[in-house]
Amino acid sequence: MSESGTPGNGGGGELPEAVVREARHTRWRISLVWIVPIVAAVIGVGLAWQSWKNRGIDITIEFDSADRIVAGQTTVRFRNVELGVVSGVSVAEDRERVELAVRMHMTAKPYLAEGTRFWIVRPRITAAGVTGLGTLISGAYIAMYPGPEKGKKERKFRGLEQPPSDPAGTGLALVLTSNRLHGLTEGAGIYHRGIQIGAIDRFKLDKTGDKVTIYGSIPKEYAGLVHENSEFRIAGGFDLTASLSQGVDFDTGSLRELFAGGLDVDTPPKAGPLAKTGATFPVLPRRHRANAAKAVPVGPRFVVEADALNGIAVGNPVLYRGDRVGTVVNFGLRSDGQSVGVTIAVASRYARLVRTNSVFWNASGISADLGLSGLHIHAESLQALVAGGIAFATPDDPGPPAAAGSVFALRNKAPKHHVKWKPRIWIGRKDADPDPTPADAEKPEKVHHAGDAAGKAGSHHWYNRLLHFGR
Amino acid sequence: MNESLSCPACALLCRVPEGAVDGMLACPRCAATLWHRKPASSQRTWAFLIAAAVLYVPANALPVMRITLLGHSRPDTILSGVVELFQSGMWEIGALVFVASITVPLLKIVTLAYLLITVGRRAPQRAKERTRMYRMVEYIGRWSMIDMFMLSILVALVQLGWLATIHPGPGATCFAGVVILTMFAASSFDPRLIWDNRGGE
Repeated sequence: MSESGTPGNGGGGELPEAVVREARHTRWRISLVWIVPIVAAVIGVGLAWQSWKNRGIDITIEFDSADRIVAGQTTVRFRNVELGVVSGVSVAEDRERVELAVRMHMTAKPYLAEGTRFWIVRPRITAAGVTGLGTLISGAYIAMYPGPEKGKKERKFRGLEQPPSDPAGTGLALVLTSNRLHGLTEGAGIYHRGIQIGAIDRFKLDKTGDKVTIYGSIPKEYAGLVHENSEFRIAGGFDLTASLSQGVDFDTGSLRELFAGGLDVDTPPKAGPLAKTGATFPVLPRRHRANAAKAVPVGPRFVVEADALNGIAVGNPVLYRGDRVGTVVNFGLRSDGQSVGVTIAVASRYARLVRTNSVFWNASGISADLGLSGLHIHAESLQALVAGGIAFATPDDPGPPAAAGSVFALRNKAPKHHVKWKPRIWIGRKDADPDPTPADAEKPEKVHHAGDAAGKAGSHHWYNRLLHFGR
Repeated sequence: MNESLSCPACALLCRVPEGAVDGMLACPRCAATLWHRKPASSQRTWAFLIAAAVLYVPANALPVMRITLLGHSRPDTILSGVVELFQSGMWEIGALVFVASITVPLLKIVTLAYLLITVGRRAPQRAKERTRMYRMVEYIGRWSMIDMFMLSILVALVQLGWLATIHPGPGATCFAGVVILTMFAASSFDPRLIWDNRGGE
């Protein structure tokens, strides 16, 4: 090549000579470039590992219908976190249901155990409310709730047709029996003191067709409110009570209760052991709310002994200066038939008004005094006038507080000038009493003011029976 | 006879002094290092080629992009994209994508491997054809990135938040790696090696 030089240059010098210099680096036998495939291999293996780790878990969920389920779009969510997607929809072999093939994320692995529940969330409009509105736009999704931790591994699930009211399943499942549904709906609430503590999941007619079985559930947090002797009453609808003494009383629960119906849970004061899952209760008829006003106040009970009832009835008020402080609980003839005993319960905070020197009289009806000064017509209150009641007053020398179970005589007429009696009896907060009197510090004393018969042997049983009525 | 070399930077033809070795020579005009052949050419080409072949697998197996439409997200590999294009009747574009994204990188890898093997064996046959193959591989290299350009435009444009979003997947990175590495492999290959065994005879 170098033979054919250009004529202008001298022989052998026609081409510039390359510069010789020191080799800048020793030649490596293995080129550093091999790092490149190693790095590539590391990246490749890393990605492969990652995708293997996230490969997903295939599970099957069975439902009655695949309404609004789209393969490749419908997601499975737990607390609205997407954990999987429906990959295929097919009809099950028995043609009775559909099978959804679902690919779950690897992170959902611990949740796919026995007891995990799946249900389809679609827009639902029921009397109990509107739910799943968001799914109108985004389409239905499958909600899940994991079963107990460390449950047995499971890959085939049976989906719920109704969203469970207690998805965790840790609460109380109840079975209620009734002869009618009483307008209850799925999703109707179970209420305790007006607060919803549970819901009715579903109901069915018995095979014989003469009974309704209602399944309800109460979440864990409220499970402690249901005892074995709790009562379930129909709560829906409204109450309209008209009475001469109290006028017209219209009472409903919440609007939701009104339309969707519901059940009230009530536990008697002496609560039995806690109800267990699967416990069966009868559904009792509605309790008239108007009667709630006549509810027995919590407090000590006393017996007043009268010659005759004269219109006193259970539920009548016990009045102090015209204010209702208690209720007539019970009455009954004395064993020897010589008098009648009336049990009254006085609310605890007013109990101190009842003193050993207190005077009780029958407030029912009208008392009229005809004298020189004219005619005085006196009635305790309109309510007492119509419905009857017992009033009491405590004189200026009140005496020590009467002990629960004390017996008083019932007069037929109010003592004269009793309104002018002004004993100072503190019924506010104890520590707020600006002028504590030694009288209040006195120990309660048992009294037997009733006639001569009160002390007689054999009367004790009668008193006790009267006092403990309904307890 | 004295050998002469052409400078790889400024193309000056210069004489090689006696006894000089590769790596010690420099161009008298631009001081670039002069080589008879690209240093460690086949070793480097092999390295890039193997790296490209390794990345070719995840490039096709992993999703190149993730399309999120109305909250539903769906990953797409190159192949699933091609299948979708075919299914929706756009088979011309599908074929184009298939050729450009799946066949071409594979052909490049196979061709370079073939060239390297024949050079390593010092096989003298069909040197002309092999040179032509090499030229094609080098030429095609710059067009293989079309997919990546497309993807980067899509990702930048389709950012409609909740309505529709496109995210690049790990497959895209691998695919870009394959293209770059095959280009490196092609450029580190010295086609003069094809002729070496013949020139020596």
